[in-house]
Amino acid sequence: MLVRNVLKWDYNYRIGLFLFFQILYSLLLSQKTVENKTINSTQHSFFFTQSFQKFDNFSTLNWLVQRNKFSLCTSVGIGVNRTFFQDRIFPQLQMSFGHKSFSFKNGSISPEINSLLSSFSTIERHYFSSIQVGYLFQFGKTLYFIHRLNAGLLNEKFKNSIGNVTSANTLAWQFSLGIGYAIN
Amino acid sequence: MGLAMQNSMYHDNSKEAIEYALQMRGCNGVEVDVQLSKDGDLWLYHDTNLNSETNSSGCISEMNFQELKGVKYKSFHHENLCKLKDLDSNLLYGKILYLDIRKFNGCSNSEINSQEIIQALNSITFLKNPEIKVVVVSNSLSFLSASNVNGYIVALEINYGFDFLTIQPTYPFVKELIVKNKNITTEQISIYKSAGITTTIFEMRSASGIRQALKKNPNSIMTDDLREAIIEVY
Repeated sequence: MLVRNVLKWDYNYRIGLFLFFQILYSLLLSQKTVENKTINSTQHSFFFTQSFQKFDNFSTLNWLVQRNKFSLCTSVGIGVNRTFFQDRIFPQLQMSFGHKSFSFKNGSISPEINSLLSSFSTIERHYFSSIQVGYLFQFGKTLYFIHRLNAGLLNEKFKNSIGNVTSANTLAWQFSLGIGYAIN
Repeated sequence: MGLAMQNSMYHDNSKEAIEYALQMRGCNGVEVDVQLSKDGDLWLYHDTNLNSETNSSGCISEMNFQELKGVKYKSFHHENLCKLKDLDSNLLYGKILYLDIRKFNGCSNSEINSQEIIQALNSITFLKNPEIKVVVVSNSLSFLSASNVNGYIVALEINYGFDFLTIQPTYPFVKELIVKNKNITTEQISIYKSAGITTTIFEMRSASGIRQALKKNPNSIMTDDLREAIIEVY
């Protein structure tokens, strides 16, 4: 039943998901105080990934904010095949929230929850939204290697030939490899 | 347009996949694989044996309704095996329905009787609806001949490169060809067109493959990736 309800996610659900990430983001950036002294351990970094997904390969620019083992990553990407070889712009917005659960020398693995929104047009515009879980692997310090593996549910919506909205769900995944730079 | 792709939403030949495809603007038809069951129903399934794609095993031609009704695909949605007569005929109005008839019984290595298949086709009411263009596809000229006698438009599926015009005078009822992309050239399509033969190309796996097929200027294409094809066509 729960799965059925999740599969029926609609516009409100997406708004809810966006607000959920905003709350996580606020929590992440809230100041931590120890003995009346503010501790600021926020680290910002950017990384570029090539991401292999169900419907296209995305080139993605990511902004990663890490604080007290929690991380929030905002990404914008573009589907390479659709955009550059089929002349249809295929943008993607992605937000993920993770926890650096496993740290080792020069690296870490962070389990994460990830929300993706993307869209492109054929004759009608197709909207894709997805929620996925997986991990983010980082290796290196200032300049680092990054790898992300996620899987979850994807919903596609489009206006059909009889004027209604067709909604379909399926399994989705992403495998990303990239390189990043830590600002501080 | 079938949907047998890794990036598909549903399993090919499932009711869900067919309805999904027919609802997409730009799709003007679907191709389904049809097999006759032991009790004379037509089921949609591609492979010879059920164990390759479903939770069951055996051949459709050796099973009856009771054995087939609970069969599900080994896919994310676990779609049910679908009967041809259970398709939503409203979605097919104004579209083309290609019926790729699978006559071979892989379990007994024998051919299924053509008349039994045609009898089963005749029992499905919506196939007689003039709003739906039904095309019977087979690589068996004798079966196509029998289908044509029963009033069906027929298309010959060619899996290798040969010049159909050399045998066309013997089989004048064949006005449509279904040919693999790699087995036909632009020149051949042009010659077929001038001879009044409709050519449909299939087996393209990528956007570049679809583009290459469209450059050959066929009458239509059958593709596994519907969105990609619609982008290329429109």
